Amino acid sequence: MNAAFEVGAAALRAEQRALEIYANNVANVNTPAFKRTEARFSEVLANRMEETGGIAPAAPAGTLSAGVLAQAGSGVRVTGQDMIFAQGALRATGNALDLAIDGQGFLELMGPNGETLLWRGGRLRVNEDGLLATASGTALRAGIIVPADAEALSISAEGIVSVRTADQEALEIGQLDLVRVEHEGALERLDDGLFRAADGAKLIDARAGEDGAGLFAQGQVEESNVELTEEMVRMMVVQRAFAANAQVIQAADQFASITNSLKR
Amino acid sequence: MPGLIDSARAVLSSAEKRLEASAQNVANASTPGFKRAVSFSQALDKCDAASACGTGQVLQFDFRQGQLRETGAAFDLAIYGPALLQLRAGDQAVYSRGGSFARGEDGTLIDAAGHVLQQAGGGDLVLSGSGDPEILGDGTVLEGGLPTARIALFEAADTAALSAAGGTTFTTSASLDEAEGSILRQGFIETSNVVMSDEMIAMMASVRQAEGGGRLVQFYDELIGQAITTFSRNSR
Repeated sequence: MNAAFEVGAAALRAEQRALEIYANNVANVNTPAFKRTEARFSEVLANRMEETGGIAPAAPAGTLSAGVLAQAGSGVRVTGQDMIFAQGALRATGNALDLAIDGQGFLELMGPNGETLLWRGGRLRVNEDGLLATASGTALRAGIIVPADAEALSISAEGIVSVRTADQEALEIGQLDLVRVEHEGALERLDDGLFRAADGAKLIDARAGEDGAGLFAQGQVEESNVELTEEMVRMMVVQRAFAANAQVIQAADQFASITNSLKR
Repeated sequence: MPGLIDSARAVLSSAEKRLEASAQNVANASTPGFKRAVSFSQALDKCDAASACGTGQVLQFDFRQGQLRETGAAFDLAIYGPALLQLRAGDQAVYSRGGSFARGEDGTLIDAAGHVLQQAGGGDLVLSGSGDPEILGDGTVLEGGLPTARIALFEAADTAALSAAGGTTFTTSASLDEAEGSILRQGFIETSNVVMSDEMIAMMASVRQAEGGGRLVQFYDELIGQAITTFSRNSR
C-alpha cells in the first residue's frame, strides 16, 4: 500500500494531539499558576544505523565514525509537551491565605504516602490538625502548625510565617523554604497545580531570595502564563496543517483508485 | 510491446515516490529544523535484476534557511546560515540544524531523538553549573559569565555530500570544515522550510502522472485485446 496513507494518518494523529495540547492551554487561561505546554513535533523515521565499512573498532573517546542511516520517512509525531515555566503575572487578591512565588522555586508538599509533591503556590488553608496546607488539603512539607487562637497569618517575602494571637502577640511559627528543580523537563504535571519530580531528578533546596529561587508574595496569585493570542495562532496553524494532511490522504486515495482501475 | 508496460510501471512507481516525498514534507511542515525533500527523476545507467530499468527517483534535500522562531527556552538552538551542529548518536556522528535540547543528568545536552551535542575539538559538551548558560553566536558557552566550552559548528562545502538520515539529521562520510559566518541563536528554533503550496502542486502533479501511467496500461491492454481478437478471427 502507498506509504503516503500511513504518513498522512500519522500526521493527522500528531496534529490532533497538538490541538489537544493547545486546547488544554486555552481551557486553563484563568487557572492560577498554570504553566502552558507546547507541542514539539519530530520526524519519524523507519531507520537503522549502518556502518560504512564492516564492524567499526571501538571508537576512542572523542572520535566519531561516520555512519550511514538507511531510512525511509514515515511521518511525524508529537514527541512531547514541553512545559514552559515562564513566570505568570502576579495579581493582588488581598486574601492573606493566597501565596505566590515570584521566581523559579517551588514549595514542597507532603503528598499521600509521604511522597514529595511540588507546588507553585495558590490558596492556603489550615487543616483540621492545624497544619498549613493547600486548598485541597495537602500539607506543606515544612509542617507548620497554626495555633488555634491565631487571628492573622503573615508570610514574609523570605518565607517566615508568623501569626498574631488573640492577645495581640506576634508569634513566629515557622519558615517556608523553596526548592529549585535542576531540569524542569523532569517534572510531571498532576491535578490541581501540583507537580511530581521524576525519579532521579535533582531538587536543590534554596532559601527564598537565594539562587534565583524567588520570593514569596503573600496576598497575591500567580496568573496562568497562557497567552490567548499566541494559542489562537497556534490552533489556526494546527487546523490548516490538519487540512493539508487530509489532502495528502485524499491524493493517496486517488492514487489507489488509479492503481485499482488498471485492470478492467 | 513489453517496453510499453515497463514504461507505464516506471511512470507509476515514480509518481508514487513523488507522492510519498510530498506526504512526508506536508507531515513535517511543523517539525523544527526539517528540510524538505525534493524528488528528482533520474535515468538509471545500469539495468540489472536488482534495479528496474527506466527512471528512478532520487531524494535530495533542499537546504534553504527556514524562519527562526523565538521560543525563549535556554536550550533551543537554531542556526542562521548554512552551518550544522555535530551530534553523537551512539558512536556515530550525525549533523543537525539545531533543535530543542534538554540537559541530561551528567550535564550533557540531548536532543529529542537522544543525540548528544558535541563541542568544538570533539567530545560531548558538558555543562558544569546548574544555572542556564548563555550561548553566543559563535557557539561559545558562557557559564556565570565565563567561557567554559564551545559548541562545534561545521559547514559542508557541498551539501550534496550530506546524506539524509531524515529531514532533520544528516550524515556524511566527507570531513566537514569549521563553519564561518553562521550565527548560532539561543532561544530560537528554525521552522521547517516546507512550502505548502509547492507540496500541494507536487501532489496534484504526481496524481495526474499516475493517471497518465494508468491510461498507458489500459491502452496497452486494449491494444493486446484487439490484436488477439483480430488474429483469432482471421485464423478461423
